[in-house]
Amino acid sequence: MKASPAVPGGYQVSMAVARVTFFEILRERVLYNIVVVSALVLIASVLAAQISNAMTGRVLSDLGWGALLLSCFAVALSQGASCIAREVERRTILVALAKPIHRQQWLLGKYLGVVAVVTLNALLLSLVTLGVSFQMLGEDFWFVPLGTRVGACFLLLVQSWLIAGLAIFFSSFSTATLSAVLSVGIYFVGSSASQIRWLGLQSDGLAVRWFFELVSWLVPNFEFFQVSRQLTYGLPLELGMIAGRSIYGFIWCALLVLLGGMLLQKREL
Amino acid sequence: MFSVIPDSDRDPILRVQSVSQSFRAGFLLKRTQVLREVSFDVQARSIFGFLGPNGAGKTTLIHLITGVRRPISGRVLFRGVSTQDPRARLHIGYLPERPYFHEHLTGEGFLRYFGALSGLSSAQIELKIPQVLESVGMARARKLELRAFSKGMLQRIGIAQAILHDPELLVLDEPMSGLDPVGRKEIRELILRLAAEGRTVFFSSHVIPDVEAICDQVAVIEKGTIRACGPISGFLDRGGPARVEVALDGVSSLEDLVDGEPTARGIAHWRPMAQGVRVVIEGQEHLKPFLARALAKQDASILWVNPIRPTLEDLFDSGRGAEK
Repeated sequence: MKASPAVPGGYQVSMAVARVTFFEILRERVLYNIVVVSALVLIASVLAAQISNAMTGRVLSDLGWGALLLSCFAVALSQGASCIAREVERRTILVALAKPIHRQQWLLGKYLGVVAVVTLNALLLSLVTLGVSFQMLGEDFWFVPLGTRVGACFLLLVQSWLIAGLAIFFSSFSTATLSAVLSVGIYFVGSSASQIRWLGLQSDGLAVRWFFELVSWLVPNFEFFQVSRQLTYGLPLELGMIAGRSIYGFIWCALLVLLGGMLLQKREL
Repeated sequence: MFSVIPDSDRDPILRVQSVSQSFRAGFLLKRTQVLREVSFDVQARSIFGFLGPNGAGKTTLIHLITGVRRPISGRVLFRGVSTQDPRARLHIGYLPERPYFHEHLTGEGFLRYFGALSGLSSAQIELKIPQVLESVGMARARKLELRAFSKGMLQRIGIAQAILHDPELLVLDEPMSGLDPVGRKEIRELILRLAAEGRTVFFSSHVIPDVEAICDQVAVIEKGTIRACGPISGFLDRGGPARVEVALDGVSSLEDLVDGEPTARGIAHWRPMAQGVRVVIEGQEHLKPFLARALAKQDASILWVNPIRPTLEDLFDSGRGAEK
């Protein structure tokens, strides 16, 4: 049978690139360094919780959640920022782009590969964190509703996908280091969106107000995904709120990958 | 021995039309011209050698042919369709200069990946993998990770991914660079075999004998400009008059064979050997009287008569000489 290829569809290309990217990242040493550091922070949280007689649950929740947050952030940022740069440096991108594909399809595949790794990492660490909390707290574990814990983990995951999207967007036209720096900058601005808007409101000048308002809209609002208060105080997370904020995150992810693809199309390799 | 006959009556399979390319470089991102108004055609079913020194612009042009880069001006057309169009790239296979691939993949995992990017279905890929691995002599490396491959093996697996989707045009960037003589010979034979199967092969090199050995057509590029382009036979004819080396036994000096000034008798140069002499003669008109005189000499016997084909190196040198 003679092979009779047709121009491959976006799904076929993106899935093939995502699979290769996923297994490539799983071989990266930096991934395991991040996981080990997160595990150490988690162990430290258990020790700290044991030392503190009162507020064991609070200490465990704060530090455990911190370990999870740190791990997801670091994996999404490092892999998102470096996955395109790695291909460019090793020149492996050239063979791929010489195939009958569009660069946007290839970039989407890279993003999905990173997303798969981030998801795997978040799932594993979430399960470990929940398991440790349950073991340590006993009946007190239920002080925070399970729905809140799962919802918080899911929002953390969406936030990680968004960080990966930011890093991939920047890496479509810049170096890995610059992409990481810019992504961190946007993350901090986005995590302070309400303060930025408030800052604008303090000004009498209309232009200044508009500027701060524009800045707060131009970057993803990461405050939407931060629910540590609900976790600490055992407040419920509504399903509608989780769905709405997740959709907001997905739209931003799609936008970033789309823009990244357009920029990569113009990039001189 | 394989025979690849160019079909000059057909439309060219690849047409490079007035292509110029420049890159941004330096702190001020000033554009540096790499290719200047490059034009040539590649006939279907031929082996086209793209020859030039390092830094001449060979790889840049290959990136334009494979659609990886977009020319600043001009067009690169595969059967009339721009190579920027994925429909054109569907029929092009490409081996990069330094075949750095994803090292974590096995031979077959690597081919699955590029098979999917080439538009093959899973069933087609599974069917083609053993065929192409066999074709490039890599059947045993199917389960081996690429990190364990030698340079020659990487070249072969690179060629395997390039031919996986049965492309009409194969673009090979320095396919023999960094290989030992055995590896070079094997890749050369592989290229000839792939061309004999009906493919057009476009390959770049800065090693002239590699191009001379297998190409039908040649383009010579230097400093981003095409210096010459045409059939290889035309190039070899341009190298000056045909020369022949004659080795004689039982002759100790040239004076025994030539009356008067050697250069006037067509003797380009000569040197003594242990039992005789080796003489290089320019032009057929001088060869006949020289051989007649040698045969007439009682003690002399002819060891060999070898025609010396002018090389493309001579062509490069003559071109530079003319410029100076």
